[in-house]
Amino acid sequence: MRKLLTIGWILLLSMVMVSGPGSANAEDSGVLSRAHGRMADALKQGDADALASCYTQDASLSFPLRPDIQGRAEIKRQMSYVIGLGIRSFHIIEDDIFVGADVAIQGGTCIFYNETGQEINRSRFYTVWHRVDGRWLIYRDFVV
Amino acid sequence: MNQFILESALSGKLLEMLLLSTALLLAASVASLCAYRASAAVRHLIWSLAIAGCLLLPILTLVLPDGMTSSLQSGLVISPGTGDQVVPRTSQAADDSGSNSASGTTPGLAVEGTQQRSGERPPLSSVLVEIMTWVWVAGSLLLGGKLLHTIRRINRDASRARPVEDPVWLKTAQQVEETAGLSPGGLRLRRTDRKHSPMVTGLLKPVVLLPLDADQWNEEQRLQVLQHEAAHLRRGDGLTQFLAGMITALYWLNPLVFLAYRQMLIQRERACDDQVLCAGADPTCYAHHLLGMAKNLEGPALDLKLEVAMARRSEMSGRLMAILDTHRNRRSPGPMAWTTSVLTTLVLAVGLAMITPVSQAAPTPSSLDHRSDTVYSAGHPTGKDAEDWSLTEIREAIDLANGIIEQGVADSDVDAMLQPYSSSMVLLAMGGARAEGLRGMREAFNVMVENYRALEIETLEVERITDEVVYEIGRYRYYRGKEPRSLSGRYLSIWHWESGHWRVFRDISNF
Repeated sequence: MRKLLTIGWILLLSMVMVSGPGSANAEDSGVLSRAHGRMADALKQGDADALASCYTQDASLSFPLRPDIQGRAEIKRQMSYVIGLGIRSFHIIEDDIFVGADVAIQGGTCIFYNETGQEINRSRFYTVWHRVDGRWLIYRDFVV
Repeated sequence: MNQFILESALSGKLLEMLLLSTALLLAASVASLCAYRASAAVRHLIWSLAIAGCLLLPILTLVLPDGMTSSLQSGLVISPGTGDQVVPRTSQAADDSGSNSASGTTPGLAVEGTQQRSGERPPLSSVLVEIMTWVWVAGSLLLGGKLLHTIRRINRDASRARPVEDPVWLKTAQQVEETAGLSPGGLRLRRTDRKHSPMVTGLLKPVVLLPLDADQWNEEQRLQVLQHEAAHLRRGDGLTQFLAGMITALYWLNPLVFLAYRQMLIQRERACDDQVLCAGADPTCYAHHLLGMAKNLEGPALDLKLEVAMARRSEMSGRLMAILDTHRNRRSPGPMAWTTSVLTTLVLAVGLAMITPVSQAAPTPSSLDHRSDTVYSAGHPTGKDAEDWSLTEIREAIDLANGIIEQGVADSDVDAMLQPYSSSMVLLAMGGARAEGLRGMREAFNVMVENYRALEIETLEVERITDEVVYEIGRYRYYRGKEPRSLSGRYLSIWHWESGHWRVFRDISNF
């Protein structure tokens, strides 16, 4: 059993090493799962304050054809708007994840759903995360 | 949008085909002039092969490797990995900031109500090309349809014609079949109830249609007519004319193809006249008979576009002179002439298909995936690992890279622009547009340098994620020459340490 575990660990390690910088691996993906969970809960409850608290104080969001949204106050207003659209949940398909000690970047596709589970929208994104006081918060968000 | 891509690609192909077919037909004109001493059959062969070569050209452009023939088709860039995602050709509406699209965000995520700008429209040149494409398609369909309709009409006329059972005619037909090398019964005769030129019609089972007044011809005239029609049958002129007609319909925008088609028909009739004369007909009598038939024509009793008619008024003068010219070469092309003509056409068609991209300096397929990075590499000290680079030094490398890209836009030098990019690069832009790898970036940059003359990049933030991964956030602005219009937005680039260099590995940009 111990041998099997050792072989499994070596295989896993090899896969991580072989899998180049762009590929998401389970370990890195897991780093942000708690943060995603907080956001999912806040969205489900329609809590714009809680959603905005998932961002750093100096966070900014960048969208096509719109001025950037900067700072928590503006982000909170934006979250209220999102909640008003009826969006209550999301699912992320992750393409890239790079995790450092206190900075991470995640890229992929986000699919949004309303209360009945109907897909409302899907967007490609890259998000820069900062770890602040042990919590991963969004620092920069690029959407196309 | 995908429809626009298709149309643009189609338009590029149309232009390319028009240019290539023009070159091929001009070459045929020169060859035909050079072969002025050759027989009409040889000149017919030249024109037939030239028209067939026109059909070969689009096939060759498909068969030849990618990139060799696609330089005129760069209307839009289709990313290699995903067929449904594209980089728009132009971003002319990009400075229409303040869109009223319903959009919002959730943390880490965004809700874009409209992925595509409602005001987006292709430039005027693209619209004109698009219109031209549809005109071309419509014209080809119209001419092709008319051709098929004519076939139906001729087949109907042929089926209404009565089989000739007159033993005099049948005896002459049998005699001609033997001398012309046709199989017994190969010369099937039918008589219509109208006055027209004797003609061969039908593609698979051709028949000879005789006019109402054919019984008034004497024995010599009957023999000459059947010898002429037998020559058409043996040469397969009906099928050749049908194929040439379809190709002409396809290339109807090129006036040269009509000229080639007409020349092919003229030389074909003269080639058949030559066979009648070679069989022993007296030139003067034959010319007199032809002239008589042309005089008795009632006009277009039958559609004369697809059938192989013996006498046409429009070309009679030159034809009679050719018949009466006793020094004229009347030999059929031998195996050597056939081989030489076919090979020359093939080489010419392949050569033209390959010369096109060379003349436009289009990159070869292998070069699409590579780039020279000597300038950028020079900014990287050797023997230094990623972890030895301070953030300031990385920032300097990024500034150097951005300077190279800016200069590349100014010089329309896509190769220079590619220097800092990783071969596993992925570019994401608004509306799901995507480019992958150096090939995809090259195509995207080609579109950019076509539309913009200057670029300003301003790095706002650089932060290290790991020893080997850095992200950069900044602003960019593309300028269209002296025009005030520009394309601007923000970008996020992820840089990765690869073989001793910092390379852009991911790029996401907004307008």
